[in-house]
Amino acid sequence: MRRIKSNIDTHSVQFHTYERHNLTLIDKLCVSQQKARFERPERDIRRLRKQKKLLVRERIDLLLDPETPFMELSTLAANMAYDGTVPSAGVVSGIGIVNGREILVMASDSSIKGGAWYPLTVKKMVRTLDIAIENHLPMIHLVDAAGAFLPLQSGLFPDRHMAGRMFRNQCVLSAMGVQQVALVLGHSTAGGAYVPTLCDYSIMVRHTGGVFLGGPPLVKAATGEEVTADELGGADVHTTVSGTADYAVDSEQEGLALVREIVGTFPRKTKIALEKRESEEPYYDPKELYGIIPDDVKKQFDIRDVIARIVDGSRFHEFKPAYGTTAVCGFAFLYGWKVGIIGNNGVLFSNSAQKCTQFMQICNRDRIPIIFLQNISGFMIGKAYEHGGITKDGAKMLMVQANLDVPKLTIMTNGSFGAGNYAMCGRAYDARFLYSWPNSQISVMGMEQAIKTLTQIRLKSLQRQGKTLSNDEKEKITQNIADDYMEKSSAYYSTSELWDDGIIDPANTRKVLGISLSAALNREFSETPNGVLRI
Amino acid sequence: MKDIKKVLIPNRGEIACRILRSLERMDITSVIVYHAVDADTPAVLMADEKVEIQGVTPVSAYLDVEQIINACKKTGADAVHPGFGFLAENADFARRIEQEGIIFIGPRPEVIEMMGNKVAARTFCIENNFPLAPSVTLTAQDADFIKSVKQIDLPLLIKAAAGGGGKGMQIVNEWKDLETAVQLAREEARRSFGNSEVYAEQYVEKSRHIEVQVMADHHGNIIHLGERECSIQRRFQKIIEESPAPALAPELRKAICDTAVEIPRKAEYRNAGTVEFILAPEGEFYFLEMNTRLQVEHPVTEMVTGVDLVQLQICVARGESLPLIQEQVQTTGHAIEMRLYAEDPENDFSPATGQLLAYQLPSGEKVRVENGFTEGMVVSSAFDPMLAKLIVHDVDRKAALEQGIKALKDTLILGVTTNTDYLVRILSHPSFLAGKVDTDFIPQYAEDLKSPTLNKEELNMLLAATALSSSEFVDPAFKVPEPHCFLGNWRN
Amino acid sequence: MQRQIDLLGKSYTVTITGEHGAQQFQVDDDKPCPAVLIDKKDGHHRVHMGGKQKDIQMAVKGETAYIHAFGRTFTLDIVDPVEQASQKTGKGSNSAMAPMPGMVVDIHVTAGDKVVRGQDMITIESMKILTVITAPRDGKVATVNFEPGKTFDKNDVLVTLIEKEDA
Repeated sequence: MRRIKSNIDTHSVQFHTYERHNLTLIDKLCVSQQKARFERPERDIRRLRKQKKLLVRERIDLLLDPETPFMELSTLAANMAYDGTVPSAGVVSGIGIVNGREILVMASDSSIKGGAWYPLTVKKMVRTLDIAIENHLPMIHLVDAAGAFLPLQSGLFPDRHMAGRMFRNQCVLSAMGVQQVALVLGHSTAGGAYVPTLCDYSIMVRHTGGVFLGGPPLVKAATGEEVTADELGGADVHTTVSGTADYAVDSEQEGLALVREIVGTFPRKTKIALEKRESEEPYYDPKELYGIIPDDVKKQFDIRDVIARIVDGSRFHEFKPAYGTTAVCGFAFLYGWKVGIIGNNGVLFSNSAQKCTQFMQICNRDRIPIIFLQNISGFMIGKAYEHGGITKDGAKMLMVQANLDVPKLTIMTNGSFGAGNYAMCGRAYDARFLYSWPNSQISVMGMEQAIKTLTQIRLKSLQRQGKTLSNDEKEKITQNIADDYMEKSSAYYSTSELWDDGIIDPANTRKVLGISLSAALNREFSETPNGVLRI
Repeated sequence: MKDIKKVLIPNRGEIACRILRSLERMDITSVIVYHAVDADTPAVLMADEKVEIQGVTPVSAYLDVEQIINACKKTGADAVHPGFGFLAENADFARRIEQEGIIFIGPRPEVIEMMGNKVAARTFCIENNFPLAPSVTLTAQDADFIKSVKQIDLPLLIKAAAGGGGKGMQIVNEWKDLETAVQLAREEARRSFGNSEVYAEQYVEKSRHIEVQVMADHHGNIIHLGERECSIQRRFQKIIEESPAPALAPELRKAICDTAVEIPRKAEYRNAGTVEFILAPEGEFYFLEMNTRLQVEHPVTEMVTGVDLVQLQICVARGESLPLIQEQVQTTGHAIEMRLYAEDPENDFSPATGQLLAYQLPSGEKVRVENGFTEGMVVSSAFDPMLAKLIVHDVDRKAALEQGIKALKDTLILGVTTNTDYLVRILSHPSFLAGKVDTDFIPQYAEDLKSPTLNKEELNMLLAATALSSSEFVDPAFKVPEPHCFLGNWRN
Repeated sequence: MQRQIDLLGKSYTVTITGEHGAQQFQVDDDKPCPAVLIDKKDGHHRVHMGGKQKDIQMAVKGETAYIHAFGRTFTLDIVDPVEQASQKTGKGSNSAMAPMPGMVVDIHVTAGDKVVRGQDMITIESMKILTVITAPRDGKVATVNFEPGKTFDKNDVLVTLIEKEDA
């Protein structure tokens, strides 16, 4: 297969400018992640040590195989919520390897408010279990949570995809034949008590682990009964009297070793039988992406230059290259697996939408997973295009994309605005994994236009109220609206709200997609009929 | 004169093999009794006939007098060779055997009884003016006993009267420990020998253990076959023996050997026996005890004298006169025996168990091997953990030592921890080379004899070999999938 | 994969990663290096490591390797991770284990007895030595696991105490 000829001049002024800009963003990302992962108030660490507890990432390190990667999802969840006091939304989730098996681990971080569940915590946990269901990944739950964060209970309890959905997902996962193991290293109260109990294997650590529908204070308040946590629902009670748990261990280390032993007995999943070649590192250096990605979302770049820094050997077979040039479609290999790639080089026209549609059909029929590299500001608008059927063509693309049986992976490389987000497999379209680059932006409408419109509305409303504003005040209003809009369309906001599965360093895109694809291939492709295409 | 056509051996392991070899040479039919756990051992397979015996524990089977006598009757055995251990020094057993009209290849029961009771043996020596270490023997109340004991100088040993072979001894270094030591010794004596009689004896520090092999016929003839040096001991048990004793003045040797003949002569001894002495650093020697049987280390004497002691025992038991007079007993060269034990010298010599995954013993002109095991057998804690004896013989002590070290280095035993490397370190120790041995050797040189530390390279090779051959490390079932295996411990 | 290996009373953390034939060996936190083991049949093996090679003789039973090399014999034990983790927490304080193989001579306690730390529980014999096994802590006897006359191996649990209540 031919290699992409990427003609990037790494010595040009533009390259250096972009590079400087992006390295700052990467720096910010690293610092933010480091903070979210490791900065905790001294007294919380002390409290954990006194309770003889390990920190959540220490637990994960002991759990996973030596010299294997751990891909953490949504590290920066809740970074712009709750005044930033709940880093990673209080729970760590990611894909790792235990005794050679790919697993998904979900671990409460009890160094943050005792591991209490905030609305975004619950959202992250539900999302993690959704990933487990969609990809048939065995789950390991490291349970150590104080319970729901009461002041925000309305945001985490009643609705369809809130806390209840977690347990429902666990039940569905079980029925699908996917194993779940729980290690209870702290308290698992109220609804949370179902987490280990719904697992196939439940291990409890003596004297720190506790499983009960109501804890001692609640029990005392409800019936007056006085009982200690251990007497109520400790490891020995549940493993010898009630049968609610299966193993009692004396330390976290023993519990983690036992989890490893159990996972080691799971039958190795037979992956989808996809042909696999020898892997080959990209010909071009992925770090060059820092000089390729522009410092402004309006500036264009060639998506092929990105593809060249992700796929095996930078080899890419472009499909229908002369037609619909604002979309790039083609085949490549990622760690030996054949994948289809769809990327944007401008807005979508009828012809580019048609090309994508045709391409996706081929991929679907030939069982080729698809990677979407989003940089889309929308479909072309205007009379000629409407008359030409642009809406219809966009709808066809959407119809095929939404009904694809092959796994889809999406990267937000730059802009993701409006309907373009949908067609290019945005969050609502069940990409198995969706990641954002730190420079990316996402909103219903292009920023400038949106800010202009919003400002107009605001000013008109103030005028009607009889207020007169100076130019300065008008500017201030514009600025506020702009700032707010910017904030809410940033990658950081997106990841905070769990609209993506994490912000990634562009240079790591290959590794991230590789691990994600490997995870996705644990589940047999569905076979759904195609929808009706408005031709 | 009685003929012996069929000998029954109520024993096992290497000594049973040893006796069977001589019986075969003499064209005498052999019968062995065995417990089920020994069914596939070399001795059982070698014997002409075999009879299974039962026991709650394997050891108890070999101690079951009735079963053994029944086996004799059933097979028509006309003699019993008890070997050593088990019933070899059980006077009642010897009596019963003789009552049944079967020949007991060994001394008369009365002598076994007397020598078996250390107090009686000492009394015998006192009465006959044989040299003895200061001691007190009393069976009366502890209070009187303790008063009398205080007449002996410290340090001293409290020993069981019915004991032997190093069992049931307590060392007393300070008077304040005396009462407890006596109590413990009595308890242990009662438990092990059914008799709580104890005696106290002065503990000679840095003494040498010298013993003499004697042989007597039923016609009053008695000779000695030289001495053996048995000072290298751990837990009062010998692990290296040699003959002749190094650095022993000829006059002293003569005095010890002559005394060793006089004692059994006075007791009207018959058949083989060993008289054990303590040789004090200053040159006095004291009677320790007499073992009225063949000893583990008898091959050492056989190698330097060229005499087959087992054969001689049987001839004597038949009523023949000794074929040698004392002047005809010649020793040539030097012999050393090394006992291979399944034990861990690094861990207080605690016994080791396991399966003999590899078991290759040396061979050669100058090496004699007495062995009761084969590759694949399991070494359990049911019996004494001695695996085999290597006996080397050469022109002089230096040459014999070299042979000994070579034989040990040619030994390959895998699957059970053994003292093989430890024995090499003893034989290589400058003090041993110089013949400076005494019963304190092992504790004194404990640091020198410790396993040398490994250098990093050696250590890593061992760890790597272990890991790479174990499915715990390299089981394909735990293979890391792609692409994870390319990424090392990457974190995003 | 990573396991603890015990040799001559010391423990080492050994990690092996990589494909067969191209494996990396690491001890504790040392730098990993390539290592290859070639089986030459009949127990003979050749170890290649860091440019050097060594011929050894090795027999393996279960998780124990017996190696004859450098003129000596060594015993290496691979520790199961769950066992290793439970050992570290001193779980053993509920068990009185045999320090070496031997036979039970006399038993001084029965199930249900209260014991104090150091109290005589069981007398064993090993290599002509009588040893008394004592209680590792104050507590109550749960079970006596052997009877007089029975033999046992090193580390067998002779007496089990009732699980200690949380202080």
